[in-house]
Amino acid sequence: MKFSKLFQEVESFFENDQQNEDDLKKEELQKALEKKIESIRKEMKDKISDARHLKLKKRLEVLSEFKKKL
Amino acid sequence: MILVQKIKYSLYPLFLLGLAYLLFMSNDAKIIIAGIAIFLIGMVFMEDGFKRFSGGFLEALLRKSTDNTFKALLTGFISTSIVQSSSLISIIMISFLGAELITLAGAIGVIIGANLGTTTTAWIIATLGLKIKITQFALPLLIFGVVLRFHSNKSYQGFGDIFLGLGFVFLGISYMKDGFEVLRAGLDLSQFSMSGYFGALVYIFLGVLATVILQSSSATMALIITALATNQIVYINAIELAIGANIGTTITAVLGSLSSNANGKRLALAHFIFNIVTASIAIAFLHPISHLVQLIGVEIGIADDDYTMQLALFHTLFNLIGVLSVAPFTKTLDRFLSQWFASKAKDISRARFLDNEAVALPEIALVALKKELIHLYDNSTEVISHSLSLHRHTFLGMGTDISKVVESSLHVIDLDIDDYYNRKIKILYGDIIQYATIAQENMVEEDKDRVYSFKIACRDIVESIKIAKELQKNINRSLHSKNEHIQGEYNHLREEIAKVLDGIYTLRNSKRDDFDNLANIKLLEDDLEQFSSQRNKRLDNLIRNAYVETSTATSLMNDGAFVYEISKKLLNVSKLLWIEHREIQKLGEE
Repeated sequence: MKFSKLFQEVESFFENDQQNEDDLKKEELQKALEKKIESIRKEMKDKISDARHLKLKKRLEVLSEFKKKL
Repeated sequence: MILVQKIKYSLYPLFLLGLAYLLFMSNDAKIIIAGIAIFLIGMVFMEDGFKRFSGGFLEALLRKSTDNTFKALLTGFISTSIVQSSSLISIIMISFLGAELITLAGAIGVIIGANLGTTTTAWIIATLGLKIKITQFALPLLIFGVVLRFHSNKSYQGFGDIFLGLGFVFLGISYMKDGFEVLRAGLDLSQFSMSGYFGALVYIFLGVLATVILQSSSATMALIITALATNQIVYINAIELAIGANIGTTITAVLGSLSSNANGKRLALAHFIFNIVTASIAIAFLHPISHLVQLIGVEIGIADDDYTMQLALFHTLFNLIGVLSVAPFTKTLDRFLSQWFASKAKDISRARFLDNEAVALPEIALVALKKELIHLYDNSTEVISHSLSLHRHTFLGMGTDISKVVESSLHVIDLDIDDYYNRKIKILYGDIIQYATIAQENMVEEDKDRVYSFKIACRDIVESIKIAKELQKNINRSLHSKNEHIQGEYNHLREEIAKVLDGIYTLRNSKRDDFDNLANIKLLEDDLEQFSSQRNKRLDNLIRNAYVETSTATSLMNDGAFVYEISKKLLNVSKLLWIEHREIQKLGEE
């Protein structure tokens, strides 16, 4: 194997490793966001004031937007 | 300090002449000195190599493991054993102290532990360096080091530097050993051996002198061990030289700290006190400790005549005794040193966290820059609030109705923004930009991008202040306006910025997670858009009904745009400062 090829192999190994790590982090973030959205939905089903409901609704919209982007 | 420098500079030519004479006159000395030079350059490469890995494991370990004395000692010991450089650990500690990432007691603990960590060098030299044919490892390490050093990736370059460093260190030891062996044929240095306390003082002094000249106790230890291995010095004198090396390294550190900040001086003095205490104990109990070394040596399988290993054991043991003697007093040392070297009174116009020692260490430089940016932001909130004729304590984090606070704050705060800018912002802004630019040189692309965004945030803060200056005149005039519509509109504008400042204040102090913080910022941005559209409608109404003159209406339009711009800039800055996770930060980008 040529030396440059060996280098490429090592480099792609490290890059793949980094890619896997990034994917894992993203997955964790998605789960955390999903949990947050769920807890807001749950709270909205409870008996709360209209002002609180409106506040939660806005927050839910923002977080859902983040979920789409992530 | 100036005197020390003058002495240093005037002695330097003499030193060079002496060195040249020695190299010219003695071929044996040439080989030994070349060995020392190669060893030293190896240490430099190793230190540079580990610096390239800054932003990762080493800093994280040092930062998180200093909350109690035992952990700090252990951290200092492990990290120095790995990087083989107590001076690198000292630099990191000083920069951590500068960025207020750790306490002085924690840093003292690490430095004491680092002293014990340096004793691993003697073990490496006494085992790897002398027991095997070391050049067999040195040359492949150098070859791989050079190949990796030329790679474009910074991590590979770091490995390259470490390999080169190890290769040179091994090669240097090999040269020193060969030199002493050749020298022995012509001159037996052991004939100059001395016993008794006078002899001890002479050899300790020689150890100090060698370390001050070489600027590295590791190099002195390498020299002592190779001389001992070739029987050029006797064991007891080798021990005394090792004690001298320990003292010498602190003299170097104390001299180096004279130009350093208060943190550097405190740490250097702590290091000095530790080594003086340790050396005093070692001198006072030289024979009992030597005896103890022999006893332990027998237990762990060191032969009676294996003096290099016994020296390594002595070196570890006497430093360990020092650690056990000084470590219980780290908190007392902390108090004493903090009083001895009091920090200068905090001047809010100057950088507080930008330590020159940290500029070469990317992760710490990033933390320091972020803290300084928060400092700049805090200064800016003062000037922006005052430009609105509002005092921060009346609305920031108070949970009160901001519109009412605005309505009741009719007293004009006549702040000269230009003067404030020149006194409290400009110098700090310049300090941050200069530091950021220098720090970027040592960073990988990702970190460079972060620093670039810090620079943009810095500029945004400064521009917000400049816009606030434009706004101030009309706001102050409106406070005494007899036209209730004008006063009402300007109160709306004041309220808009105050709400943004309060929103940012609340989120930075809320300890919520990044998603919540970003959601709050996004909601503040939505409010801002809503304010803007409501304001335009109100303005149309005022013009249509001729409640305000046209010239006032255009001023209101311009000032509304200014308010929007300030708020938007501050919200963008807050995304960078109070959202840690880069991926989540990106979600807030438009």
